[in-house]
Amino acid sequence: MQEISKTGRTIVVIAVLIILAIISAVALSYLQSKNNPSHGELETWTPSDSLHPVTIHQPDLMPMVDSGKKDREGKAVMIRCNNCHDTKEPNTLTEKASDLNDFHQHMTFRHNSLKCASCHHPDDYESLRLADGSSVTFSNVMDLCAQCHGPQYRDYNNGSHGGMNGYWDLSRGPRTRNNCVDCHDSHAPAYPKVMPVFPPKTRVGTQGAGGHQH
Amino acid sequence: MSGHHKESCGSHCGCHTPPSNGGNDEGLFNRRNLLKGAGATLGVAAFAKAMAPITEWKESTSVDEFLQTHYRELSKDQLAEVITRLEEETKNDYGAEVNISDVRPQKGVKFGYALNLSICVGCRRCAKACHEENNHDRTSGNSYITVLEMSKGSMDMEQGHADYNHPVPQPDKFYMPVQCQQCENPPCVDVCPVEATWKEPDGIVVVDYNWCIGCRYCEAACPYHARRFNWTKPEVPKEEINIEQGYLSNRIRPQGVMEKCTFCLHRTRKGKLPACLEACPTGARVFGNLLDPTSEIRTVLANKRVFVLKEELGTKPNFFYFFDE
Repeated sequence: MQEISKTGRTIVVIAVLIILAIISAVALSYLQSKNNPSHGELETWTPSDSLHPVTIHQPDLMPMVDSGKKDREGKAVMIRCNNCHDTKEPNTLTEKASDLNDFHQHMTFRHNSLKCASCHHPDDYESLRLADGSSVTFSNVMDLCAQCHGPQYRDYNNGSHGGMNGYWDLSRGPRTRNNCVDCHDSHAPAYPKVMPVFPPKTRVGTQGAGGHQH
Repeated sequence: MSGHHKESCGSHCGCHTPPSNGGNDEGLFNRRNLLKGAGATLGVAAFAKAMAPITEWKESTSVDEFLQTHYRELSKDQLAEVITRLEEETKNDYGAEVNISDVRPQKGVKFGYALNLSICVGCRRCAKACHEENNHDRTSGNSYITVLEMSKGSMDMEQGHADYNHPVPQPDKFYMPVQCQQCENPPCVDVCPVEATWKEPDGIVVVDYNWCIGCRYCEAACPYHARRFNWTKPEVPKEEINIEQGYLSNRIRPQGVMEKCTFCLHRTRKGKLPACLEACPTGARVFGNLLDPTSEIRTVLANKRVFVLKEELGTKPNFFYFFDE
């Protein structure tokens, strides 16, 4: 009888030791995982109310035209629009450079069938004119473009048209955006053809993407 | 057999040699000694060659690097040590003082990217910006982005050409930049035998360059040809090194490991736009937080005709393409 209880006691002691070992192992691994940052809680992103600004790049220079003459340093002499247009009678039907006797001769116009006065204000050539006759400054040219290019203006406002720089997360930093006229020449707005940069040197470049011979 | 004389094998093969007492005067230059000498020389040479990786080891791999554990098992202090060591190594190898950060993902952020194929002109400025931002090897001109010239009407990226070199855009072509699609179900992660690549909570598939063994299984598994292998130690001139680096992204990779686009996580996890987007002159690229219903990317997904590449493979990309009209 005594022998049996001895064996029983040993078994109980061993069992208790094993249970203790398991508990301490679990506790240790828990502590370790607590110390380990990669298993820890992640910081939560919350959109903040105080957002940084989105700045649209503005063409702030006074509009000028090339006189066709060069100064002593070889730079083109630029002349303000109102130098001439203040006194000249506007010809609202002009649509080609060849219609004119001087100035604007180098310019090409490929903007559908628009005439100069479709956008330029005939009473004040240093501002632009909206379709309703109200004038708008050159720096707010996007209001003018938006009159005809609604889908592009909508996409621009949704962030899916036009280049940008800065932060996707406006709670952490500002963003700057291109103006229409940064990429599109208002007189010939189709995006020009360009030579691609950075030709590939890897095997992927000399063959098709999937490695097919063409 | 036992009955035969000791010195002979018993046949007429001619192997019987006279007892060697007379051979002593031949000195060192008998056949046996020469063979022994040649064998020993070859053995020493082979041993030296076999040991070469260990003797040369110190230059390329430090003991710390060899013993370094997986990124996800590093404690904060261990990671800080690793980063200090990597910064020192970059200083020694490239002469540049770099700042390697370990920016963690955020809850509530899942990155998505969309690309407007109606606008992209194929100028490859994104690929160039990637090359510079991510400290790619200058010699191979590596980049995570491949811009494919595609025939209008085709959607098969395998038929695209990356080596076009003429004014773009051509009227009968469209241009499709392809980079890592940060799949929900990434085949590259599934095939990695050592779990050196995994998907982070914000959706970005990353590589621990110090855990990767360079087997290139992931490169073979990726249906978008988005993974790159470092055949050589990257060569980047000191003044061209981008010193703002991330442990999991654009730090200079060792030779013999895989690398991939990380949506510039060293920038985007700090709230900035990726380098390829900032370089895009047309604004074809839209980037943002898929979990923010007011984000630009969500507006695109809700309002545009969006598709993903090789949808039939079930990889569920977080990179979307769309057309305006």
